[in-house]
Amino acid sequence: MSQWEKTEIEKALDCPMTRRRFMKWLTAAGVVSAMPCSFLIPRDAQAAGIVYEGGYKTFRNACPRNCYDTCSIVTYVKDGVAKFVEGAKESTFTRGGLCVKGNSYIRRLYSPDRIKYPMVQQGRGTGNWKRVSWDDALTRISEKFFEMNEKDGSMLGLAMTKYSGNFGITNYGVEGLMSSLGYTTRLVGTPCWPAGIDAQNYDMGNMWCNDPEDMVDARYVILWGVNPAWCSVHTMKYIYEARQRGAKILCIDPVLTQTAAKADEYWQLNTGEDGALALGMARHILDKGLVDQDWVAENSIGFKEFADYLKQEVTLEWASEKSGIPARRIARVAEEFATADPATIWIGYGMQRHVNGGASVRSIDALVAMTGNVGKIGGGARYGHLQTWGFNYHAMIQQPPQGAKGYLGKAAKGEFDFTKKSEGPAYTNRTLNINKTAREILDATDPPVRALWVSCKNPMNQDFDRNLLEKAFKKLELVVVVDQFFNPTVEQADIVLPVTTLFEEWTVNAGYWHYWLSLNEQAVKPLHEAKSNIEIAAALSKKMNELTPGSCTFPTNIDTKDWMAKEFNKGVYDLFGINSWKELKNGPQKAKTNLLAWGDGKFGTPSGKYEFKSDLCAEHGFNALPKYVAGRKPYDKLRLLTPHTKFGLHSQFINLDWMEEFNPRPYVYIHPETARARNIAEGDRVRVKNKTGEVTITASLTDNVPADAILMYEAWFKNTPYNCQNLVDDTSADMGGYKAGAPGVAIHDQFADLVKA
Amino acid sequence: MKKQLGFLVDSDRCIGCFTCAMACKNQYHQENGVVWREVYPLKEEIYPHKERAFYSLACNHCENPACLNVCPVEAYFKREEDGVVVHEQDKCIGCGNCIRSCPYGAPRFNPVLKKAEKCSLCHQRLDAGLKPMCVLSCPVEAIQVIELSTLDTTGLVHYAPGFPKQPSLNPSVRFRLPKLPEVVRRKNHE
Amino acid sequence: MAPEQRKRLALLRDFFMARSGKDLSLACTALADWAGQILGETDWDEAEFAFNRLFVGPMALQAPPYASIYLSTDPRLMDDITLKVRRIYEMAGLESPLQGRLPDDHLGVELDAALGLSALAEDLDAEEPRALWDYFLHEHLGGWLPQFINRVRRAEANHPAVDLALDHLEAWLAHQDIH
Repeated sequence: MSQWEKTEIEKALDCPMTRRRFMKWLTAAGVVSAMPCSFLIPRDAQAAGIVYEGGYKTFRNACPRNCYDTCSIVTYVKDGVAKFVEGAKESTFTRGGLCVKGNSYIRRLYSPDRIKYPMVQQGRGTGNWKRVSWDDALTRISEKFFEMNEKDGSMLGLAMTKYSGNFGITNYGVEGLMSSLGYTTRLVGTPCWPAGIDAQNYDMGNMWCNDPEDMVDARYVILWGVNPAWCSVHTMKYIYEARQRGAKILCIDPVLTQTAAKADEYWQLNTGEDGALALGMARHILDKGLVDQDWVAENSIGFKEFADYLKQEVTLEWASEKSGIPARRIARVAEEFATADPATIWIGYGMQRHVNGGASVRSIDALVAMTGNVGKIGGGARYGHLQTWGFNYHAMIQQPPQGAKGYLGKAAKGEFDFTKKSEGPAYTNRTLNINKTAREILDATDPPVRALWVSCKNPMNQDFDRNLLEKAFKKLELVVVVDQFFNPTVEQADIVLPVTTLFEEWTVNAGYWHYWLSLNEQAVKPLHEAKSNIEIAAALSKKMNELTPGSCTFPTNIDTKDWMAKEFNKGVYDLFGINSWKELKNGPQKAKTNLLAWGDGKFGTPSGKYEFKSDLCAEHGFNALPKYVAGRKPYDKLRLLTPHTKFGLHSQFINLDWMEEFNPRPYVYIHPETARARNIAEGDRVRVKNKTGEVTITASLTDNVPADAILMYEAWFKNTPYNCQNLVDDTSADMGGYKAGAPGVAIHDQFADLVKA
Repeated sequence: MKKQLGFLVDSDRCIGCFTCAMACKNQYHQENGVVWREVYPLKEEIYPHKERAFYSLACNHCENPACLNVCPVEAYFKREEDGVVVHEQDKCIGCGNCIRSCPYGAPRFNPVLKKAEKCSLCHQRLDAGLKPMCVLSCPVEAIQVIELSTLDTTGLVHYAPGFPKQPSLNPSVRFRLPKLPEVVRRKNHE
Repeated sequence: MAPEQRKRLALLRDFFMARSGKDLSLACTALADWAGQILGETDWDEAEFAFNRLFVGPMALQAPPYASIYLSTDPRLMDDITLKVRRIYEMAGLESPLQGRLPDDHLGVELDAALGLSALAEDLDAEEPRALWDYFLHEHLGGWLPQFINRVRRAEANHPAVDLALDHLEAWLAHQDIH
């Protein structure tokens, strides 16, 4: 090829005008007979018309991950390819920027490692996979389901495990698929925040926090067991602004987190003694006459009993002894908190991942209430809310097939289950505790759990007592996993189905912290053969009905954009002050009301008041008052903490090579004294062991962690078998069974020891 | 003083979240191993809590850039209108002089193209009236574009501890230093 | 291109577009046949598992069969290289029916395109298709296939059936003066 010719071609490749001139030969040459291509097809000459050059098409998306910030995204697309993302400027919360994870989304969408096709593994865990068509995959699944129904007389042998991998509302179609197959087994509950949810429900009648953007008006902010500098980066700007306006920022955490480093004052309390600390502050506030008596009298019941308890059983010295924080400090901060107006406490989810988690949350709620800070702009006991989740759940609500048989017992409901119990058959799904998945699968009989459908979850990486879970999987006859990457759960699947990313599906997203609503448009066509969860449901239903008419009620002909639109209702439109979901194409919208929790003093409790004394709580087996409950007794030398890292969201993102640039490997963080006592130096390989299992990992020495604890971040790294769940047992937290389907897990009440490897 | 754009590195606001570093990758899709903006944790001698304070650094668009001075083929030029130092990769011959000469490690070697490349202060975005990607993306405004000739330098330092002092290059960067919290350790841990 | 090289190219396209062990066995048997050889006893399941580990998934690919991985400064799918290839097809009056879903620079698609572009170049009396085919062959395929072949040869999951296809691909490239 001559240089001239090469340049001509390259010019044509770069410039559509030159290209059009170049292509004149096509029309002159006429049609070529018998082109030898068997795949490529003739291009419609008309389609070559006007080529849009120079600009991008933008689309609205939303990050559907389990994160406080649920960012509104703008996706820039050219030639049908997504090029880069930005945060939406219209949302004052997102304010134009995402986070380290959101900014890696393009890499995720176009990763060569994405699961592309339905595939079948010949022998679980062998790595021997065959590609199959969707038709083939769905036929295999259908046939197994028919076999199970035949054998058991019901679909109760089919279990679904799903949680927070994708919060796009139409993804509740997975639950819908299960319902449309009959009565099935559901892993219900949440490993995340149930103890705190119940605590707030006992105290106030709902989990409901103020608009986080009003934190700028707080005059005192306690960040209690929460690490927004890593887990809610967009809220940090409001905390900084509050400080600028004169607020004091206090951070309480067993670990010197990034947030602690940004606070004015940081307390490294004894882990799990948050309840004692809060009660100590309460006692001092009571002694100093700083209780907001008016508020308490008008808006609460049971304060007298609570005050009596404090006087009889709580002292500053006791609180100091339990928490490790000097008494004079506790006293001073208590006075500062009680006299600041307004004052607020942000209660983190890590804080309640203890056997006494729910009780601790109740104590902290009490602190906020007794100082009159509930129902104030800039105030409140902040935890989360579900005010903006009033969708139709059209994808979720499906009917069982005619004649389906089910469970005749009590079924639990998860915290995101907004469906109402309808009149009808006494049959229900069988519900198992998602926090004890391994145990429950092993113990379930009549019928046993035969098949497991996994979507929006990575149990092999995230569920507790990993070793027990492996045993449980051996019992399963069929494991179907719907996912994007080859993670440890896919490794143990029989069939994997490729699922879409947020850019490849239509859905709508709300958050559990801020009050914004975001449209998620399909920005690009699904890559390879990926389908969204509702497309998978529709396709499976079609196949099942082909083989056995009436075996599945899930609609077989769906338009995913239409299904997104079907989630909207008058309630949502009124709350956001819009007339149509189409307005969200111009940007996310913020709720116009419900932004101030309990502003009208009408609590959702049985008494209608804030309940320092909750009879309901006592009925459920706990203390009526927010009394101190001791933590879990250590069963090994060191406490093991496994919180969240900034580089990933649970098992997502860390596997991407872009993320590996900044976060190449996992570490165990050890206090220098603790390390020295075990002859461990910086960078040594160590074996962390306990009764549940073990992990080999590299050591990083720092006094950010207390001397009596070691810390590892939960994560899935692509190229190492690291999994902290090897060390975490499934001991329950106290609360969670009331509003979230099952008690939570005492994730941070684990213990271990370590030796040089 | 001529107009000179640069970066404000507010290490007090900075939470080391790496959003800026990934925002740059999101816009430019650099080759694996090639990073234009790094987020460096401060050594414990400078900030006593490990990996709790950071300097986010890319190119400092120096007044007298080492890269430009050592380039044998004039692949670098400094924009008249705002002092942004631009690398023209088409002209680059991959000799590595700039990579070796910059004390800040701004130019990086692209092993596939076998050429240098670096942060260009997103000058195409600037010209379109948009913010650089890192600046737009930072959730706490810890990275900002500053104009040195009109900058109010109250509370800012030129050479933060740990940042190489090179007055002859005169990097166009200013820092706000991180603060320390009052730390109350639990009693039984002395 | 000699007719028998065209035939060989078509079989290589079939190999890289294989969706099952059966497809692999048909393509490999035909390739062996083409060379006047007889294939030895082959476990086609094992060949399929290896093919999937190398080129398909579900795990991370050992040798992704997309030009963008080898030619871009950032190895991902659907990038500028992919779009350049799409334009080359456009300039030949061709397009992929799976545009947007299957990257245009997948090896199987490119081998199909090679058949089309070479046919246009040889059967028509015009400079443009010749220049286009020349560019696609030397600048593009010649730019990434040698690297790709190297990567497969060194990969853990390699299998004799894949080696057979690679031998033919290398030989075909050599016939086009690409080494």
